[in-house]
Amino acid sequence: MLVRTARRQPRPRDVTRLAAARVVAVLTAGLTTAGCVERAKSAVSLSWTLAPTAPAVGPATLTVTLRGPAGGAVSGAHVRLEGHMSHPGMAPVIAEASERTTGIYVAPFNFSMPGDWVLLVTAALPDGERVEERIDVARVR
Amino acid sequence: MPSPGPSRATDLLRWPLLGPLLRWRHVRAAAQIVLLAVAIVIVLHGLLGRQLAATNLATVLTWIHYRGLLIGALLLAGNLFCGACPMILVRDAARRFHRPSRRWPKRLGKWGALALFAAALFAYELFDLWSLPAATAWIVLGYFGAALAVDLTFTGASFCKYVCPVGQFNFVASTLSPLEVRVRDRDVCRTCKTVDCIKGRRDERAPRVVTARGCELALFLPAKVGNLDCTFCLDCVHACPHDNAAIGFRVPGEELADDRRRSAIGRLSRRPDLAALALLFAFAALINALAMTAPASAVERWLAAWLGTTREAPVLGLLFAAGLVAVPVAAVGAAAAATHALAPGSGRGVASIAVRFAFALVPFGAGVWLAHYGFHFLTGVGAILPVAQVAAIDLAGQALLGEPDWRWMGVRSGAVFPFQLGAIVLGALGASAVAHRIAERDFPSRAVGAAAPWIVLVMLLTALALWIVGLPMEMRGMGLGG
Repeated sequence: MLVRTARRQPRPRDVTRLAAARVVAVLTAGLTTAGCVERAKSAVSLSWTLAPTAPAVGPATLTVTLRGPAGGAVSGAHVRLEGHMSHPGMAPVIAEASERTTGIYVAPFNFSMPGDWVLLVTAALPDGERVEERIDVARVR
Repeated sequence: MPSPGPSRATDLLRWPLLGPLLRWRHVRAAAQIVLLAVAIVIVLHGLLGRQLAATNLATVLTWIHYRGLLIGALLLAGNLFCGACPMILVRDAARRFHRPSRRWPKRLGKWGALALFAAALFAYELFDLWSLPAATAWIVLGYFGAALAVDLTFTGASFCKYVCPVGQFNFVASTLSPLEVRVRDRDVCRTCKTVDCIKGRRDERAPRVVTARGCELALFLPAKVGNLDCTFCLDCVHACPHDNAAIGFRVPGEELADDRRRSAIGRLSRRPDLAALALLFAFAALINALAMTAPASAVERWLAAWLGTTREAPVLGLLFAAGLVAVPVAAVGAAAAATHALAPGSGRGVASIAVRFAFALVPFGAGVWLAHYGFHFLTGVGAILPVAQVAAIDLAGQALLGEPDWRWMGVRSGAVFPFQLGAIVLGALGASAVAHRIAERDFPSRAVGAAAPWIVLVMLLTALALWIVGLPMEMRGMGLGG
């Protein structure tokens, strides 16, 4: 079973300023990518497991765990999964996760074709904060 | 025999609405501005947006929409995307400040462009460019930079004719276009003293001022045959003082069997570089389609293990050397040798026969490119809507166009298979017909025997292409072995 933990930042409230900052950063740094721009860190951590461990075309389950700064489970979040192929233009897989137990969210979905996938997990927390995680899943058979 | 000038009904320049639009002297600039705006969007979102190919306009517009529309336009109309190329708009603006004086060394022919075309295809596979928005944006910027560097150094449209890999693809595919720019009445050209279509029209009071540019690719309209090297810029249309240029319909692919001397090109039978370009066009279509399948990934991993490497470059290099050099040379050499044996007495050697018949494979290649790019376009055409919604969020910071709605995508992938089948079979039929026409031209008394090896080759390649499109796809994007 693939297990990962990550701490992700919420989307900044003033994203217009962020976009402007990106433009300035890019122009001044010789058009570097936007990935250089730092964002505020979230206090909420997101960890995940993917089953089966060797992903294959067909059913799969992503389990997401949300924990607060003190390690307590974060309940009542809206967790959404968006699965994209590494190649553009292919139909994505969208799944909504349900909260199985406190702070643990389960999203059953289907890998619709073989190849390299990117899973975008978005957790909208009860206080409005958003936690995002990108999961690269290589070589789905 | 020169083709007769188009009638009023078959000359697009005589059509109501469309004719005046095409004659409008700013029509090209208008189209270029549209594509320049698209290029700017691609660069901005590619560099500033989220680096996920499926959600970025750089990758979606470039690898899904542009390629699909490009091959569609080439096969349904003409070389419209060269005509509307925004790089030439920027170049023209730059040439107001710096006029080039050097001439491109023509003795290099198309070999350099051919190498760049192959290198572009190799880089596409090696770096999984379809999955990299920022890299795609840099490629677009690089294209603009290269066009500026070449065309601010060398006169004419040197970049288009001798460098641009996309241009070479377009030139080869445009031999199958149903439209071409040509002379309306040859008698008018015979009495023409100014040849503005090639030299450009000049201001009568200030002869150094060019008021309408002549053909930058040195295609002299009365001696122009077919679409090779024609960018559909319509400069000749606007320059001709006798209104004697037309955009007429013709039989797609017929020019591939036409060995008349062409302006600025010569005879196809004496252009091994163009024959090699035609072969690259055909075989690269197979490689490009095959690379995206599960068996290709398996072969790559097996080859990597055999070579004892985890680097993709040597593995891919070996596959490209096999697919784009060894196999084409062996297949075409064998077919040419068979023609030589089946139709003796022509006085032509195997190499000469190979050059002559290589052009017959162009329709096959176009069929495979259409099947491949058409698949991505048809299954992903609607993605522009949710990805534009993503772009608005990325660039403006707000969901100006609403939250991304991923229900908009395109045709179900399984439903595209009949289209792919039709494209490949149509390409194969066209290739067989061109092979037969070439055989009739060069081996009039033994045409069937001369064409037979090439038709067999086309059938074998067609079987391979059909096998490829029937394979399960494997969308890689994370390098060798993930």
